[in-house]
Amino acid sequence: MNTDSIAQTHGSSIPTHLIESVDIPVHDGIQMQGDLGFVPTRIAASMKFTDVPADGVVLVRGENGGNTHLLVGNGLTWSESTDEFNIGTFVVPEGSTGWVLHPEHGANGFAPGAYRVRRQREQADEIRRVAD
Amino acid sequence: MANDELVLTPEQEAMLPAIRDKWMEIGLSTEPANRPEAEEGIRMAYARGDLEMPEKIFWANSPHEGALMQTLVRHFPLEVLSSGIFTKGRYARLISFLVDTLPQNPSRNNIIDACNVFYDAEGITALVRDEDYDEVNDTIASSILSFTDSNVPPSKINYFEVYDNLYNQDRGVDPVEYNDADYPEHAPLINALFEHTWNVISVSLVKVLTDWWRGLIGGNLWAGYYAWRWAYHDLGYPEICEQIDGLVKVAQNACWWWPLDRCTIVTERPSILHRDQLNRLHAETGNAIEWVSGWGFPVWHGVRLPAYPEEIMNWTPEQVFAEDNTEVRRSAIEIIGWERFIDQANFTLVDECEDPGNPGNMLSLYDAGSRIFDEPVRVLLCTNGSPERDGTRRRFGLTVPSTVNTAMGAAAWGYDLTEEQYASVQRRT
Repeated sequence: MNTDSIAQTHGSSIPTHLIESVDIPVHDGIQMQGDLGFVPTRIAASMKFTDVPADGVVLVRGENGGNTHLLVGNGLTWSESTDEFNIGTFVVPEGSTGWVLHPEHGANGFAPGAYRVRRQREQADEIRRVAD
Repeated sequence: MANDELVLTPEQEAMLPAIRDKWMEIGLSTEPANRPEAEEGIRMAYARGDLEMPEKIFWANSPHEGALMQTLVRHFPLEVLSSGIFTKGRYARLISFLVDTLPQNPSRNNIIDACNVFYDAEGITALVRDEDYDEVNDTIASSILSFTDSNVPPSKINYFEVYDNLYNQDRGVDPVEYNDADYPEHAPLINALFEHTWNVISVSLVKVLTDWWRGLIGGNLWAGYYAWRWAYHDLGYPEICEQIDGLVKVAQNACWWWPLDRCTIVTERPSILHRDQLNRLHAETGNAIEWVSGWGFPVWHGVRLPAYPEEIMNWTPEQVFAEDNTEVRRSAIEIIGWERFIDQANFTLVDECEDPGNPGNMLSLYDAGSRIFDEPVRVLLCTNGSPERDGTRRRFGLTVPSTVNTAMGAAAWGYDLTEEQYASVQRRT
């Protein structure tokens, strides 16, 4: 799987200034993409999961297309959270790979497992989210 | 059907994105106002309110100009205004003087000072004192009427004649000629009236200028409200929207407006409107929002700036720290660049380590004390995980609590991880 085939499969555009057609590393540990962090986690019984549709789940939307973090992959499930700094949790089933795409940061690959999606924060006069 | 019983069908719900997009476009429009359509909307709105049609609609080239114009409208009879007050004479000069002189967010004292400077320059002795402000709330029209009523037989003079005279003076016609030739007995009155006029104007002008928001309607900049309210029209319930059809029509065609007795002030749309990826007003240089008159203001990621970014770029750390507003301080540092600023401001390096998620790049933690925010913070200077379009990697600062003592701990804090967890990061893009 590479950025071109992801783009073809999912209709997302990957910027040309990022190296094209390189294989995207797939990891099962902690990863970061811009202002998002992905942390391996356990699934709580209280979480409600829905299937990730073919055109993906927008984790963070940027209206002008510049800042959208898009979660895609076959057989993935997603549980949204309402916490400002904790967006939700996705599960990559055995035999599949999860991808999070971003027009500027490129793509991160996720091995089977469950990942909590965190939003980066900073200390101002109060703690607030980092605007990427 | 009562509003609270309304449940949208799937077909109606499917229409919402198009309604949203339409109103986004209206709210963000930088096209010139469609004046005939906007004026039609204004008349519709007056009709819905059972109001007398406005006899005159005045167009302003910016909200700032509109705010000043509505001040004058509330003080002068329409006959005077229609004679060209906004384009010539002393009041036009006052407007352009105030537009040129007042800061972006004028305080009451700014306005008082500016008016005094103008009166001095024009040779008018009416000083506006702070204590006048609360005492006088008469309109100029009623003052003049009472003055003329008590001093002059109505058959000989009416206050429009007096105004004519004042305006002749403004246009360079010698008022003495007028008085001597036709109404010699009125000369002292004219002079006294002139003094009195400015005494009253200068005080009540200040009051109305500071009350510029009274009666304001936001036009296209209230798109959010109209999108919600007018959506019912598009969804098939036009009968619950008809009362606001005029307001909506103005919003679709113009910006701020003031519906007043007998006349309306309405404003052009902005000619420039730049936003960042999170839709906040933002421009790297110049004004982020600007009207055709040139009036507007610089904004950095939603934070209104006291100067253009290209000027702030050259601020010293002392200038940055002298800013009262912590968000402005933070924005100024971003404009200057964190790396350059940390160097110039001599922040103390607390700790440094290699970034585990970003091989070959360092994480550096500096102490900023309370010089950026009221809350003491430390700054983690790090390097972006992905290259910019020009191939360079941006270095940026992240502020963390002052209790964080290591660079690794600061990076970890940003994602609510432990230092050990962050050290194990496999990839950062």
